[in-house]
Amino acid sequence: MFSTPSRRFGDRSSRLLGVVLPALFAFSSTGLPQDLDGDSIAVIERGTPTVDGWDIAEFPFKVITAPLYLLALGGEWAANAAQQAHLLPWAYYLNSELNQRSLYPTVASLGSGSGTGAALLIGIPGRPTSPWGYVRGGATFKGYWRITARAGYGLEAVAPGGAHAFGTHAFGWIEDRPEDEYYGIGNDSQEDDRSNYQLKRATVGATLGFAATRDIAITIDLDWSRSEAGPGKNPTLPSVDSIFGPVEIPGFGDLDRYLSFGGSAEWRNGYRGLLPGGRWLRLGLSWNESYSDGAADFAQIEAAAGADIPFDHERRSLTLALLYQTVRPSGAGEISFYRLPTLGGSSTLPAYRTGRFRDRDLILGRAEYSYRIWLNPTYTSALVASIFLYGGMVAEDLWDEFAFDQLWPSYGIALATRSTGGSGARLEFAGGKEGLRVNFTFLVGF
Amino acid sequence: MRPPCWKPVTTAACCALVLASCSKNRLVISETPANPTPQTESLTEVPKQRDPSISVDFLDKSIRRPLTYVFIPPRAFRSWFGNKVEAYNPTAEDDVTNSSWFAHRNDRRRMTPDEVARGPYRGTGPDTSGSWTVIRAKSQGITPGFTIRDTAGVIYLIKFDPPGFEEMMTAAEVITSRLMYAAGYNVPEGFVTVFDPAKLRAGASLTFEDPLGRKQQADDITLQVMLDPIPRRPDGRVRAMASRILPGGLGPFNYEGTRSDDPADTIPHEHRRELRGLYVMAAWLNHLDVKQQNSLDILVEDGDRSFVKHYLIDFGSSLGSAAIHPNTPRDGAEYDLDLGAISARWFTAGFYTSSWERYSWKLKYPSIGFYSAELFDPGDWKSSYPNPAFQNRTTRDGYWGAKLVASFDEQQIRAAVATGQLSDPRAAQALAKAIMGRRDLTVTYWFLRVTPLEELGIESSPEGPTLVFRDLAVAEGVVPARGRRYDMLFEFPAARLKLRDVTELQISTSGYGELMLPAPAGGPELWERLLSLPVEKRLAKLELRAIPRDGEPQPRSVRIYLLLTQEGGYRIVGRAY
Repeated sequence: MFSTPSRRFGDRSSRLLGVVLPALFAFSSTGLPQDLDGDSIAVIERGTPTVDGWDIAEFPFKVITAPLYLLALGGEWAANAAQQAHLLPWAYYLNSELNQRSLYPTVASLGSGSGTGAALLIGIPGRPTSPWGYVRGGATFKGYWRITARAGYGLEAVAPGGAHAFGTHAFGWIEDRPEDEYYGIGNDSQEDDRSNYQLKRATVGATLGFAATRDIAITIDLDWSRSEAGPGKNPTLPSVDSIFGPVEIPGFGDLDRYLSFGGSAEWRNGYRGLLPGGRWLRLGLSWNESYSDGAADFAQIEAAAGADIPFDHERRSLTLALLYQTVRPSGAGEISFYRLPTLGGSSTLPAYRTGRFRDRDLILGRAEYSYRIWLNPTYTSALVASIFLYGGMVAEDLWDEFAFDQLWPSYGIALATRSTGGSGARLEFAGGKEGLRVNFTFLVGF
Repeated sequence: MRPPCWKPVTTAACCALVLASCSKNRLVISETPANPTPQTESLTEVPKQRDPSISVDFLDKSIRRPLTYVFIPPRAFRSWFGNKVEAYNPTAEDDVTNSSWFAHRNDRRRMTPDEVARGPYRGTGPDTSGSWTVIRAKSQGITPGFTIRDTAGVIYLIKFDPPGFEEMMTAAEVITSRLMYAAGYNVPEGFVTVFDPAKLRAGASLTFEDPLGRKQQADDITLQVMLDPIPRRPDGRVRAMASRILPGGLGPFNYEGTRSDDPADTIPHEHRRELRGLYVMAAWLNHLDVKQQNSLDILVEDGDRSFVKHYLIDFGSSLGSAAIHPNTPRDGAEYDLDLGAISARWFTAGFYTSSWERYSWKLKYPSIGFYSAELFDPGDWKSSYPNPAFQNRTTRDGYWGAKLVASFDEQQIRAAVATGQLSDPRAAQALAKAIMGRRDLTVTYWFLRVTPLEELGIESSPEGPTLVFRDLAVAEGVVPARGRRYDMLFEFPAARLKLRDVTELQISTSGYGELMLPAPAGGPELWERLLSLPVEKRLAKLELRAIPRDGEPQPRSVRIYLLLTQEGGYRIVGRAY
């Protein structure tokens, strides 16, 4: 039942409403046919196909973005053409046909800075409880190439947490790295001294690995290697020998031959999902005996520790990691410059070029916050974004020279694709003291 | 220091306000029957076949269009501040008329459970006693598909469950199609069938397109090889879904624009109430694959008249099934490629999150996949990729769709679930329970966002005209009858009558209530003057808005348009929610 309007509705806004509503009502009720009578009238609130203010406001933007629109249409046309030509099914088909013939093609790279390339594996890759063997070759558009042959029994790399406790294999590989970069030795090397060299290496050896417990894996290696550094092949960069004197590039032009014996122990507790989780400790030691004049025997030590800490239902994770590497000569002679630990590139300091810093000792700290921004409907692949901060330095003797203000910082963001199969790619936008860099790398190498 | 210049800001704000006030929504006064969707236009020539590309459709709606919100800023502002355009084809009852798109069924006349279970079916499904001749085959995808002709000469499309999830897809397909049909949509006849694969015979010169697009010759042995991954029953038979092939197919309809070669197709599809309201049905049944490729236009010859009838087809990705694998909690909560959600997570460093991401789940019944009421948000459900009609939906469209959902009761839902022929009664029970749960959530969500007064009428009494109504929110138990209050505004400009009040009305537990309306009080001269006015001046408007309880959203009002009659009472001539 209606009553007199209460005070609640006597305020200014309701009075205004009282004026506007009837006005709109009367205004909008135009266009009525003249011959309507009371028996045939209907009142409908509905949308109408007329141009409104928003359409007018959008128009200039539509004109400006017309080229983008055409570009998008072109992309859609290409996608349709690919669908019509069954390109994806053909790619899967060819891949499976090759796999059935023990051929495994991949898109990959040969480490940071080597460029994108393709690799082909021929044979049977490592498998848990039976003999296996393969030859894998790959090359990148920069002219890097490597051929590897491996044969063994059990897993190719014994990883902690795996079900199989034993693996052994023999291996040999040969590679050519025509454009590796060099900036001099030491933490204060100059970016202006950017130069390049060619490194040719060959190694043969054998590995024995076993998992001592579910979380601990131990490997023992024995290998013989030969390497030689020569003038770089990148025509846009000077060769190292035109920038540096012989003292600054030890081992350049010499043939290095070493017999190495080493081993590693790794403790890893966790799992690998779309965002990895777990903690790890790794210690690797090797003794390298030289068979060349002027080259020093040396010991190499690598220690790494870290933790991937997933949280928020594995949507996000925090990675904290520390890496220490050192080479220690024993006796007379020099250690070739390309055998020194290096910093720079996507896996170490993303804001600096690959190989930007090198010296006998290296330390690198990494903090990375990763978060999943997309998950495919079947929960098998994801797009992961990261915010990272790296800090690292090299030194002849870290114990004497380490100082926090000597660390080279690298910070930025990254986008990576990940799948339960472990493959993926990573795009980094990183900043540091030498400006911004964009890196794109595949998470698998060859 | 130079003072900040506010002029551009205020100018932009004023422009935004002006634009926001612009609307394509209009009050239309017209002659009855107010049917803005004439379906009487007969075709003069057969429309062309449509075969839109799935990849183009996906890229266009998942990537190109979302990016226009970045490159065309007014579009983003419009979506934030602008009024959405209402559907073009509601009637004076804020409903739609029966058409080649939709026919009212369960919401107008309650169907018996048997009728719901029967659906659109005229026959009993393919004859499994004799052999089936395969006339077309496809080998793409996880499972094969066949087009067969049974011994009675009827042609069916045969589809199978994915390995490891027997009954899942086939059950989802028939259950959803039954409920869609009962709601009013056109769907093909579909059956769960069990047949002996040895009875499949390759038709003469049967070829099939292999996954690489190559035409291959097929014989009986090839068919058996194609059936290899399909799970067999202990007796060697195979379960499948048989969908009767609709003759006269013209390809799918688009969810936007019109079909230029159909003269009866005058309303852009994204502005059709039936297609916008389909969102609510699709959300309820988790019908994810609501893309144009899963629709079909059919040429219907009816005597000397021919017209295009519009069907929804392929419900294999509905309920807990994603056709080739079970759904996950992500399905329905996010588009397959949701640039909005991706950007939100990226730019908030992962702090933006959706409820599905923190939901722990386990697949309890493989035969029904993942379908739950727990994570269901009826207003924010998403199909596999954006659907233009769904994106244009308004609250009024949602309410219309919710009334379709509300028309189903537990018995009808159980009858529909029974057509899925799930062998595990616990799975069937769980599925029916989840469908009921999502039904209740759907009804609650939409009925709280409007003032859901239906069954409106005017009754005369000595005290004056009285509005009678049924409040569906009360009838459905969404809100209690006791304490139900309404904010009322009555306007009759010609009689200089304007009253506003907030009052609690007596509503029965079944939702029925009444409200006495004011009449112009001014003696016979006023009546004579009013009745002599043009008809549009004799209109009054009653606006009723339910007062929400704490925590409930502010609902839209129902606007009821009343015409002063010669008898001195009112007649309802229109309403909108």
